[in-house]
Amino acid sequence: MVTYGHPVHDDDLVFKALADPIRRILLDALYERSGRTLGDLENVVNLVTEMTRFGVAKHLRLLEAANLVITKKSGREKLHYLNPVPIQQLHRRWIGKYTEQHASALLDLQTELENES
Amino acid sequence: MTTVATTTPRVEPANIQVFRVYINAPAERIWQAISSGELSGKYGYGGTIEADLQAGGDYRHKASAQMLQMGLPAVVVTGQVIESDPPHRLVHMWNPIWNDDPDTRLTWEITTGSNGLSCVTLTHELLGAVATAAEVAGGGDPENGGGGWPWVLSSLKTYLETGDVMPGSGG
Repeated sequence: MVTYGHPVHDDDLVFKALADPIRRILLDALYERSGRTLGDLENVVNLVTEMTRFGVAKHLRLLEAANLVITKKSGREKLHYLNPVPIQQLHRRWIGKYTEQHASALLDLQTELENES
Repeated sequence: MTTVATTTPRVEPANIQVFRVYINAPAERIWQAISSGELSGKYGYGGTIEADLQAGGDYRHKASAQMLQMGLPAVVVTGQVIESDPPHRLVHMWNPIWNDDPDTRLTWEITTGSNGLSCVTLTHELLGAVATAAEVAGGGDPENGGGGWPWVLSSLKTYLETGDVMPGSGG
């Protein structure tokens, strides 16, 4: 997959972005409170592991490329927001489909067992 | 190093929420879907959008048949157009009548790349609108109204790209 500066929503990018524990910490931090500065997020990461601001910025760029994070200027600050849309799509495509079948199979089993008694 | 495995509690729903979706459709078509009644029944919770697209113009979202059945009134969201620059930028107030919340504001930004892919960014300003903020953030059961903007935007993408109404959406 090739992107030319224009981040395309893509399952590969989202899965790759989610595959790293630091990036999941960043997403959790933004879920808890969205609209945070790089400095703020650097502090959050450093509660768990030592990492430079440059390292945190690199992780944020990957999250942005996967469309999981959106940055917006607010005065002189750049704020990072969580974008839940790709996760919703991923859930629909990769999780909901399977769990629905699972759930309906359990419901069938329940009906069957109840009818037996 | 350990990571947080369980759900992190949300301190409070954010005052400003930002959503972005890439849609393989021209900006004009996305504009039509978000600002008029022509396609508003094909995605999200359905119903009919009526907007007088000029500063100070009326914005209203009329109930779908299903919403009326649920006992909602004929107009479920009211508001006012602040800024309209078709097909790239629409700013309007968005006040759902079912919540007793302060007014909230939506900014729609639509850009199209050279590859024809459009980027839709929706910014929802919700200062003090706690109930509405929790709802539009999504993450709940879409069938019970918990889909929020992530679900609504996903269904918009599905409809504009495939012509099919996403299961459970529209009306």
